[in-house]
Amino acid sequence: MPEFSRTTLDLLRQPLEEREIRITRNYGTYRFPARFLLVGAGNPCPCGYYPDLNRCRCSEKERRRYRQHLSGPLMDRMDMRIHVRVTGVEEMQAGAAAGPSRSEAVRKRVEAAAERQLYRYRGAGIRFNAELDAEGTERWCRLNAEGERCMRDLCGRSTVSARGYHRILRIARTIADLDGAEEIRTEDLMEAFRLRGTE
Amino acid sequence: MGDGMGVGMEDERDRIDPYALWLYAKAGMGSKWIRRLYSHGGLQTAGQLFDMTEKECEDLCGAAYAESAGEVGKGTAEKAAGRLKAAIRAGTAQRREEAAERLRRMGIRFVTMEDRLYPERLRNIPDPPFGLYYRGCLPSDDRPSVAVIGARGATRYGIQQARIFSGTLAAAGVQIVSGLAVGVDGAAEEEALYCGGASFGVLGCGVDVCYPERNRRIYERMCAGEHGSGVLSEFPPGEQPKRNYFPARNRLISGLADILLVCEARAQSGTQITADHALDQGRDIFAVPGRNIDALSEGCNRLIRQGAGIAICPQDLLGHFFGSGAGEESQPEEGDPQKQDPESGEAGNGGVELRLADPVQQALFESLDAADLQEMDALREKMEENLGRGVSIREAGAVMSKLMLLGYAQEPCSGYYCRAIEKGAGKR
Ligand SMILES: [Zn+2]
Repeated sequence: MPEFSRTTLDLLRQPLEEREIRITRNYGTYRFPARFLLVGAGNPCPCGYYPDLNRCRCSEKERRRYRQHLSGPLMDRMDMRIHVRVTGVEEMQAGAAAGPSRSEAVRKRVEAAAERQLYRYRGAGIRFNAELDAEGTERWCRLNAEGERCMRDLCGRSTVSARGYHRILRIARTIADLDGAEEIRTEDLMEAFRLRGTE
Repeated sequence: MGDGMGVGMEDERDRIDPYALWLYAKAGMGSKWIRRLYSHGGLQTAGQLFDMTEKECEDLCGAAYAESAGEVGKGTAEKAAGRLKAAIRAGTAQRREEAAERLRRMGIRFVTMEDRLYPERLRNIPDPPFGLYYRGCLPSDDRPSVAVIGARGATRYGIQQARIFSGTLAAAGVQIVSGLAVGVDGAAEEEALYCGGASFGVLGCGVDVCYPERNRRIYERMCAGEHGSGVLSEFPPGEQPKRNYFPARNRLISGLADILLVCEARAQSGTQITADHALDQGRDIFAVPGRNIDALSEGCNRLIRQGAGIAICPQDLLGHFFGSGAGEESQPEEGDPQKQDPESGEAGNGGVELRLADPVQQALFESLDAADLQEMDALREKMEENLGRGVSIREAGAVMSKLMLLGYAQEPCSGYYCRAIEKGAGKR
């Protein structure tokens, strides 16, 4: 993603937020539905080797400029920002061997989690956790006292925007759903916080 | 200079000789030429120049040329004389005084080799700057001084070592000199301030220019003279950093120090230039060793091969100043690794060994390194080893969040973790 220009990338902000694309021409405005799942990937620096300083010779400035292609507001709208490791040959072979059976199990869990969400939001006009607005998040992602305290600690430690706060709650809700848990537990919050990652 | 007697220290530092300032800032001659006027031409004070006739001025430059024994060409000498004459003509009393006043208003002090406040250490280097602009204080001639330098893109190991050495030395009363660059320089200077020591930044730009901007906090504390700190430069105020200024700046960093300590450096780097200057200037060099496979340790390891001292713990350097046995524990004995100072071994691991009550948290904490960045999956495997049971990536992740929350772990780069070491690494 950082290979695109900042202006191009920032065009994604509106559809990500409003789930529709508006195109205005002199004869009127068209609105297209745009409910999509955005998955993007990028290198940590122009050469791609950072933080292996034996190979990466990019300067701190170059790295920063590269990362700045992804604006703060855009990154804030990403639910999860995770680091993906370079896959070694062994892992690829092991993956191929375990292959279909593992992804079959994952599929079952995802389907079960989706079921739970459909059931929870029946009649509310939404289907999945991701579609919850701020109000809905407050309502359906309620925390117990322990969870509240955990969230306060987590947010006190780093700068979390209001948008980020709700996103963490929704991710935690999904993690709990995948686990078949009724309530959001502190582990779910912790994991959600980690998946949200540092900038 | 006799009229300076009885004037308080504070006043003496604030005094600017307008003649010397004009000569240094406006005559368009390098420090080398100005020094020749004194050493070869027999000039006593810059003030004399302004009473000279044009003929006397030419004679002065001629004498400097004649005495230089072929070091300079006749043409260069004539050009120098021309520039000097023009500068003297332009330097009316009023304009000289205005130039000095401008510096005072900017809170900038100025010394030249004529001054007794000029750092004694610099008088002895091959190419000392005739003048120095500074804010805050100048390094004291009477206190030991160590230059701590290293790579801008240092690893966490380099930063950590810089903090441990700089902090411990500063707390023991050693002045820390560096270049205010990002990476090792800034870490060393900040840690020295943190430990209550004097920290000096030698800049490759005017002293009123903060470069790099990122280190502004440190720069301002040094300008304010915190714990006797200061920033200094041979370049005039307002001058922006230029690439070719830095090698010149580097000679002052080593020149102002008794010992040069290199914390982390690539084989071909600016650090190497500073080390070369240090050798020319007869300064002792110490290097912090690193692993063979780390490109950023190559510079240090090579210096050690060339004969630099091996800096394993700050006591290695303190012993140099205060005699062995200076830093609390005994020195690590040569050729006997078993007898190594337990504290130094600890320092290498990032300070006091911590025990966490929760065994799972402890297992992850033990897996984390103080300097090396590790990925979640590698840490999870180490956790499994430590606990003797399987650990899911989910569980490891949750524990990591907890450790980060407690302030024991850090994620300095997305997806890579290490132990949290912050300010105070040198304070044990
Ligand atoms: Zn790179």
